[in-house]
Amino acid sequence: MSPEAVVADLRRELIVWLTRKGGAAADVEDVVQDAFLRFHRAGHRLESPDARPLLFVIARNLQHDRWKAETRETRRRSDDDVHALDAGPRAIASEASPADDRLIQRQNLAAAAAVIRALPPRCRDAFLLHRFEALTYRQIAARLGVSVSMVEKYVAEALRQLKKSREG
Amino acid sequence: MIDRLTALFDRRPRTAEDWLARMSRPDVDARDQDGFLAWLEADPDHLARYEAARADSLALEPLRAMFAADLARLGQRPARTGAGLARPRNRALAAGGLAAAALTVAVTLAWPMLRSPGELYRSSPTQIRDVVLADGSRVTLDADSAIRVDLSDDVRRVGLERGAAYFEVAHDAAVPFQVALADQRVIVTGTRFVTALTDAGGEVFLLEGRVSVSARDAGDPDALAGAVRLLPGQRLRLTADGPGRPEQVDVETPTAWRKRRLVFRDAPLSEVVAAAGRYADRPLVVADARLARTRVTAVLPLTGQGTLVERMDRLLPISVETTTDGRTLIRAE
Repeated sequence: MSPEAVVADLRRELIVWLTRKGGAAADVEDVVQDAFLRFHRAGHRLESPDARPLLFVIARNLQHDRWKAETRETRRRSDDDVHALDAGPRAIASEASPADDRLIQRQNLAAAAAVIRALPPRCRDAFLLHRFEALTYRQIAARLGVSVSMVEKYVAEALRQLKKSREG
Repeated sequence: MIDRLTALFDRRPRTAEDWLARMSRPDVDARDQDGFLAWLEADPDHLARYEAARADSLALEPLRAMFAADLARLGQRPARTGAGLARPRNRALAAGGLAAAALTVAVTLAWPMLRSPGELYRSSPTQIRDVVLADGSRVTLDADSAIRVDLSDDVRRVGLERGAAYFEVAHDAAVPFQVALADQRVIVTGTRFVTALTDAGGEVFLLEGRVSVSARDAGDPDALAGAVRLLPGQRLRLTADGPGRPEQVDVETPTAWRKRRLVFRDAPLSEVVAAAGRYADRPLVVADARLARTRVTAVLPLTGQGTLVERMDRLLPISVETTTDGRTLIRAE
């Protein structure tokens, strides 16, 4: 399927879904538009299998935020509310602020490298091939002589260890 | 106890990291996607956690070089840089010993099955390149394209190995000129035409002169037996089933890249962005579904003042935004 066809399909699905959840037609169009933009800004890819669920939940959050904003509007908004709106509740999840934490990032990277080195050999190899060679799980499975499910487990384990070390 | 039992049966991922690993599987199905959506909806924090896990994994990119030795041990090609495959762009590099070795490696990796003789000419992903062959024929390589050229006494042989190429063949009735692509050969004596590899196979656009498309090599005395002949202004599509029938089409528009411009007639903006993306130095992302519904007729110069994206911004009804990770998001204005 061409990228345009993928987008068109997702759009249609999203509109149906949001409308069923009680969105007004005009709002739904806007929400879908914003959802795609928010999706791309967060660095997600349409060709990835997680695209559909992510777009759906992003759109759903945007719709919720819109409803909340409207309710607040009718309640008359105080200054506090305006700030709350600007902060953009949960639809706007962590948009990276790269300038600030370059130094911290360098330290984190050194720590991450140590974590990866300390992984069990197969787990480490699977993760390296996945992360740095962009091999598919099937290719990794063939290379390491394990099942695809095992590769998934290795990758998940590596990600978990990395997260654990980050959270100290 | 009940927990342990459900844990036994429930192989559903539970954490952001588990889901991230699951979503890279080759066989993610609708059930997985529904499960993932249910997980995302179950807690307002889940989306942020998933995105954080993903961003953290992407942030490991600078470590690639550090693990180069491990990756080499795992039997992979050398570490790639962020800018794509580390391959020499300049053929002059072949002069030095070490550089020559690097070139050979890169070429073998990119085309493992092609050990055919001849000289390789290639263009980098954003560059259109002019080449003059030893017989005086002129070739323009589209961006990210490659040809292999073997000019022997009986036949001038060119293979289109990637992308598309425009040929102005120097006339020499005694030595036919052929371009091999997609199992077929385009045989000519002097003429202007474009060959392109496509997902389905290949295409030939004839601008001037005559060409014949044959499954046989031009060195074969029967090369033209059963060949398909093209007239100027015709296009021939090549598929796995062989060549189709020549069709009268507008051959100038799809081959305008040879003149360093892209021409669109009543085309969706999304198509314009996709076509221009091949010549941009950073990924262009269609971030707005409305682009598919807006149609434009436009001539987009591939060279000139400013960057390609700046020219697009000026000429087309779009708005442009650059993300921190270096991609360009394109929306309808």
